[in-house]
Amino acid sequence: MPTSVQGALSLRKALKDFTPDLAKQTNKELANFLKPVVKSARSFIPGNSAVPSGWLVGNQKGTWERVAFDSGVAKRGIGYKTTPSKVNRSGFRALVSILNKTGAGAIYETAGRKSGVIGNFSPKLGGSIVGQGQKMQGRAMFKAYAEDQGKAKGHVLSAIFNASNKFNKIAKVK
Amino acid sequence: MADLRIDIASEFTGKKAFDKASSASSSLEKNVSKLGKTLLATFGAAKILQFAKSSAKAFMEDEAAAVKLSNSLKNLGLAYATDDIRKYIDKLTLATGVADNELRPALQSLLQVTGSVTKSQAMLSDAINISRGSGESLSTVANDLSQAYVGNLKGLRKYNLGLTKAELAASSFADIQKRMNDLFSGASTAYLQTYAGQMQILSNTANEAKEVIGKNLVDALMLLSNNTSVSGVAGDMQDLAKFTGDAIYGVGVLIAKLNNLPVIGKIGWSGLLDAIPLVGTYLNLLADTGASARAAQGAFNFKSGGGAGTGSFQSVVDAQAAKAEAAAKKRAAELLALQKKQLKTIKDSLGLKKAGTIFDIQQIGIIAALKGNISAEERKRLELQLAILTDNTAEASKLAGEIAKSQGLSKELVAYLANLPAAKNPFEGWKTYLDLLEEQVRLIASIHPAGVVPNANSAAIDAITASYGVGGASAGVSKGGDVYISVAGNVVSENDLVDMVNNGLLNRSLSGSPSAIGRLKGSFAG
Repeated sequence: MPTSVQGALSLRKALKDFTPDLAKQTNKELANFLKPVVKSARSFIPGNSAVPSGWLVGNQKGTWERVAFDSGVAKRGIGYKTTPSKVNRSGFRALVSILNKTGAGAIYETAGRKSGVIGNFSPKLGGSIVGQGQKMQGRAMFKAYAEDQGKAKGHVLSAIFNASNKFNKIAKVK
Repeated sequence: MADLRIDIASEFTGKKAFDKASSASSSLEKNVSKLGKTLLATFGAAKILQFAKSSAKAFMEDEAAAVKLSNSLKNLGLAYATDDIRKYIDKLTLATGVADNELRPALQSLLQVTGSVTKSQAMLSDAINISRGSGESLSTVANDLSQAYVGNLKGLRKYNLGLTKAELAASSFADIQKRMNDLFSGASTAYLQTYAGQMQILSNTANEAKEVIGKNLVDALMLLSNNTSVSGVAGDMQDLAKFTGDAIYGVGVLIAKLNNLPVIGKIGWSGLLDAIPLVGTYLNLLADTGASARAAQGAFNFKSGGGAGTGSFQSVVDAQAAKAEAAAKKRAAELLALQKKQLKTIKDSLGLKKAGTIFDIQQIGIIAALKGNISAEERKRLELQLAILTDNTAEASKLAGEIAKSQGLSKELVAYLANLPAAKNPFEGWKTYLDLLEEQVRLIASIHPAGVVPNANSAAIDAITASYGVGGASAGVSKGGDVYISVAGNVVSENDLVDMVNNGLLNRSLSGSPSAIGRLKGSFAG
């Protein structure tokens, strides 16, 4: 569950408009806290040889061709974002996110987390599904986030609050 | 396909979730509405308190200004007109939309110079028109008019009356006033017909109402709190703010205070208590109570325009007014005489100044120069200098124009000369000519003359041809001097031919022809 921060988007805009240096510094700080989680998540993506061969790129035709697996592509698809996202169906916009953008990466991440690791495909993917709550479980990104135990989140929120304090100090009318 | 995402810091910005959530949070809605009512009550009360404070403040400021004017009137011996002036200002502010805190200082400045209420009121009306027409503030206009009344006309220049400095100096105040009225009359009426003017009237009326409310509020609070000064009331107003949320306690305090009013005995508490929930009725009761109390005190009534001292003192007031008017007229006459005297002095000084210019060395120099033998342009320049020295602006302008024109012509001439094509070099063709000469000389030198072409010896030729008999040979000389002998007829041997030619040549050399040279050269020279 993301932490709701009121005014984060406005703060970001204000930083960008009035103290661009502070905005850059804050973004750098956020990136520094997120990079370890992303790196860890990428390490959980298996090589091409570890997944069912039929799923690999070049071996699929038709609909599945679009989501055929390639280890490099899947790893590169895991990243972080420090720009605001679009509004989701619940009306929330995220300021900081970790993403798994590729189809194959998402399949590897979530296969079997709802219905169970059973059948012909998901048991052959390897790895383990880790995380709290069904929607925060996974084999790569969610696993790395769960193993991080909220440290990255804490650091990110601290960075936002620090930026807010610094900005308020600068913007104080004397 | 949607990205898998972990959102670490998010913010609610959309309505969709709220719409969904509101259906599931009925208790939250109830709490919110309850909170809203409480907030409204608090906010409303605070607004009322704020208005009350600003009203009281407006009244206090207005009262201070009124006292200032009253003092001034008293010092000028016009104390009898205090009430009338107050009524006049109240009516004027409603009619023109000019705030009374602007009207009072303006009127005061006019009264101080004219000493006449009637005159000042007329000038104030003019000042309002001038202010609206020129855009200057009323206080500035009134100040300028009051200064002009005593002869200081400097401030009138900003109104662009169309008068020169000299004309302004020579005009009387009446003339100036007439001129200004011609220019700006009707400006105030026109302004009030505009939207801005209408809003000004409304705003002014609201401010006047605030002052009245403020006055009544201050009086009421002084009654309630048994204070004799406003500072005490201010303290109680602060306390009242603390009790705003507690209506019952506030009403209780009010009732306790109202018990001290003598009028309560007449109304009765049952009527009051019944009226408490009905704010309008309660306020009407209080209003009537307040009105009666004020009437008893003889305070100024905004609506009825009543005042103390009416009726029985009117004759005294009229006498005082007549005396003040007479004094004002006398003063005006004195000012006019003084102004005329000043004008005469100025004219005399101008005449002296002009006469004095005769001894102006600079002018003497210029006049002397003009008598000399000078060019037309120099004459014009000197005349211009003289015109400037003698303040003859018309002549100066004319001469300056002529000089500028000639300068302009000079400039044109300079430009023309600058653009003239370069003059031809008379010696430009000499080189070519000399080169030709040189070439010709070289040619002549290179010609070697041909050998002297001797004249043909016709006698020798005849001798040779005769030796061949008649028709035996013919002879001639070519252009190059060659002699040819054509022997016709017989074919002779070579030896005979050689002999014949030898004989011929011998005969020729004997005759003196230079055939020897030919012999030496090995050719037949003839």
